[in-house]
Amino acid sequence: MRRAVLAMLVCLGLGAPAMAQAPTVWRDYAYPEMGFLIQFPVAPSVSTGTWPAPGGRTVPATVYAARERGATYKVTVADFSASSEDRAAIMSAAAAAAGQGGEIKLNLEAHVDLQFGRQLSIAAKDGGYGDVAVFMLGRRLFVVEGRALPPNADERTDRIVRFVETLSFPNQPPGPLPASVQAQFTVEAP
Amino acid sequence: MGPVLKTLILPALALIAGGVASGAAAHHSFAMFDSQRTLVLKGTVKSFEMVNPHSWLHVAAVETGGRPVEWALEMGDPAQLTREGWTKDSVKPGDKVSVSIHPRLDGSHGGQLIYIVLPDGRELDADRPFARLAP
Repeated sequence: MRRAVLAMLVCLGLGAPAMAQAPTVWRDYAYPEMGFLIQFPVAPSVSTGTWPAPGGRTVPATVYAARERGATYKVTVADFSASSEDRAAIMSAAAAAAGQGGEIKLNLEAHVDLQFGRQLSIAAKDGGYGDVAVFMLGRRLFVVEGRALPPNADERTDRIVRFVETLSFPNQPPGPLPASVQAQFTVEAP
Repeated sequence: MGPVLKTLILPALALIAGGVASGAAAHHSFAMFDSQRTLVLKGTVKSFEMVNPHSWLHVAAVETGGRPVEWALEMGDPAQLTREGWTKDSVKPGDKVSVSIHPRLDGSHGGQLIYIVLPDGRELDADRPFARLAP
């Protein structure tokens, strides 16, 4: 019996470092019906829910979510097709919501595959850390959130960075230019 | 300006005007990286993926104080890297390397790889021709 227990302990002791060092395999998850592709470290679950629209209403949303090694990975696609809210207002509200409960460390205009949106980094009050991207294609709002959970969240920021940076919108027509970019050009009439 | 031109050319101009004239800029902006700052990390390769739209190098480095931290370093697409001399076997897990990167502006453990010094002392560029444009 002692030998068996000893053998088990030895096996566990030898196996633990190997398990700790096993690299994550990031895989592409494509959702052509929604128009996006992203890499998750583990297979995400897909669920439906709602997303708060400006003005206190809600709109239907599809959520793709996973959790792995002390971090969460989530893409929310909210359907604004039946609402008339202004695109800029929808995106601003989404960016503001992403920053709630923390300090916004970075809030930049960003583009992915000729779609223009925003990218934010948030230091949460609970010690967590988040990387968030907000885009809108047509009447679909995309909120991509990688959250490194406390404690020691900063040890996992590489993972959430990796997640958000792999967002892609393949085969989609270019989105409208933000006003800040349009202002840089003077277009002559033909 | 016709609708086609407006649709195709303006966004392309915008990318250039946005200061994202990186070889890897076709997929997304690189505004989150601090192009004014270069960090040199010495560490151990955890993984290397030569994939579209961006390749990834994960390196474990030891911070001041002795804490090991993993960095996710973004690179160009496989075609760009191939032109720079990379192959999928250029680095492998366990290799001791030195990497020069533009770190993320927010201080998280990510960055844009500029070039790497391999265990045998050879250097491979990742996006250096563009990165050199920055002071």
